[in-house]
Amino acid sequence: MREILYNAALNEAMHEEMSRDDKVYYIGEECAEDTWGTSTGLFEKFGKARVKNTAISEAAILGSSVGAAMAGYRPIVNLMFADFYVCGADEVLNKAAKWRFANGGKVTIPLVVRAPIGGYSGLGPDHSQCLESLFMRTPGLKIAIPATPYDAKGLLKSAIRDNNPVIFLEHKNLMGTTGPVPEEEYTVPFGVADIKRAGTDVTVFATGYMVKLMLDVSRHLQEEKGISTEIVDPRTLEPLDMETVIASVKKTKHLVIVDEDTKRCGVGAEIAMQVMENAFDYLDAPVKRVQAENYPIAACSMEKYILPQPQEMADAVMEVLGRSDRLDLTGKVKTASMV
Amino acid sequence: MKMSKDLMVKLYKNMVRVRALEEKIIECLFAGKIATFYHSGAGQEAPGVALGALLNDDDYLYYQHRSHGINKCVPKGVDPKLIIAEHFGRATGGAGGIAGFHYAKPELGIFGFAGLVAGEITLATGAAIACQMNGRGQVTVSCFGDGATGRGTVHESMLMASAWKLPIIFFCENNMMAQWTHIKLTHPRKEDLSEFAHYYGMPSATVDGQDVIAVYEAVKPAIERARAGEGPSFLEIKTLRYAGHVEGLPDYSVEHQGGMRTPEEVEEMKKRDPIALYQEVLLKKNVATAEEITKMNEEAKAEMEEAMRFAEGSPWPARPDFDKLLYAE
Repeated sequence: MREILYNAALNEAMHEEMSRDDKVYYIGEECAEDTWGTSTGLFEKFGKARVKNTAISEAAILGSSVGAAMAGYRPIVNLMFADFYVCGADEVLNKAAKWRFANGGKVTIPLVVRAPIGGYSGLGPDHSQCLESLFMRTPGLKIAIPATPYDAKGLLKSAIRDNNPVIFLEHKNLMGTTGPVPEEEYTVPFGVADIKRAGTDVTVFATGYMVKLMLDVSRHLQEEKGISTEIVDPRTLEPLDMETVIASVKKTKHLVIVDEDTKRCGVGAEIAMQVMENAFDYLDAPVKRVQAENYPIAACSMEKYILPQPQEMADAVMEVLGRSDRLDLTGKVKTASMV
Repeated sequence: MKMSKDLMVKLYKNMVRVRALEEKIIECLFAGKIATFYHSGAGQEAPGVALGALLNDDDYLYYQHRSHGINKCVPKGVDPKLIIAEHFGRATGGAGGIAGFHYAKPELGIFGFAGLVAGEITLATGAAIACQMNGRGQVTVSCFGDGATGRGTVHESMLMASAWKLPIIFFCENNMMAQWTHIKLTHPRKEDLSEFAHYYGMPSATVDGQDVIAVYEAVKPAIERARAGEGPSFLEIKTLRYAGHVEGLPDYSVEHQGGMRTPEEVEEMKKRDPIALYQEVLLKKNVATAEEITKMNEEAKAEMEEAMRFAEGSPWPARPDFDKLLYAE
């Protein structure tokens, strides 16, 4: 199978869905030539009526998209940075998420909000966040978080066809990664987890960029310590395929949760609690979480003190297994960080 | 502007229907029959009634909290039964009883309003994007009060609408009171709010909102301009709010904060009551006789009495399938 870049996969999904359905349009700041290289050829092919470059007006971008969605269109918003959603938080949390419910189910809001997430680029506290826990605690939103080019394309196509608001969390540090993507038409359904690595000793719940880091960490755990990890990537956080997570935990008896968002009240807390409620008796050790520390994300080299690091992931796996030895990953698994 | 007798009568009927429905809801509120709140629009019936007469079923209308949109949605064709039953929280309400003071009627281009002031203006701008892309000459009207102009959403929306020549009318009903705060305390220039439009490069007008004909005459060209693809307009409708911000609480704007308006001023406003003023027009122009006016008043009251009985007699909603309300298939 051919291999393409993650951002090229997103671009293909946009081209295909905009060709397939003329109700789909793309809107955002600089979206005609977006920062992450996902818009190539769209403006040339679809013109300014369907590739709407805006002023710096997040509330109007997000709110108008909710309004157009209710009037029969399928807008795709690009926020450039997920962090910027706060300038249109009312439009996302109160309008996109609640409007259908609050009007007795009389309206539908087919909307995709593409929100580039993530750190490891030294960009500091308001250009590095993930925010998935914030969206996940908001009933009415769906949340996709692709880890590979294959998932990026397939999930984006599903998101555009979905009749609900979808927060699409694409990771900035995955944009330049490659992976197999079929040339034939396909979609990735929501609510179906993918086992990114099959294993027997420890279940690792991971999303987005954490899947990539954890795959590298797992290789060293296998080769140097003989530990077999099973990486479960839920791919969507709402709907969430807990069945696959629970089945894996029942098999391995151990769980480590790796998530880039802030630890406190984060995704890890929710996953761990659901495992407690449904598979407590199967656990041989307490669940461990590797997440961002409870601070704003620092810039440049200091972000490494706050964001999850590969060494912490390896340590967590060793600890849940009760191993007293250590896998030293110094110089072996690198994050995208330049320093 | 030449107006047919039928249209002039329709405007009157709708003004008294709007007032009768509001009065009925407030009566039920104080009788303990309604368990949500109500923001009276008494005194500002004319703007929405004029607007309603100019919109087609497939035009979009975003109303606001004042009068809970009754003064616009009833003239656009929403059945008062749906509105009052929603306030009663019954299954027959415009949102099945889940929204209380909100209701949607998508078939008439009505999608509810926001709990946060100025929250629906960006949504209206999106409806205008849809109108433009549909290319069928539809328009959107975004209604808001003077208080909403304090929020960035108004300005972001006006900027977007102006840049893209969207078919939208920004319909600002300026009653000078944002909740209980007088506009003179928050808008230091003290000039017409239609001045905002100049900066965004769109035509604007300031209109006497107590005169239903004047509003009609101002809205008509703005709608025609939007239908012709010539872009947005801003209308400032200067109007009067008799009541406090919300029923059941004192009118703090009269009694507290140094008395931003005196009780005498509020009484004075009622001399410019839009219904009374319009009655004079109808009589003077021989459009209706005093007897016909009385008859229309009574018909409106009877209609709303019947709507209330419908609401009272409607079932309470059972627990719905909330998942289906939350997410579409």
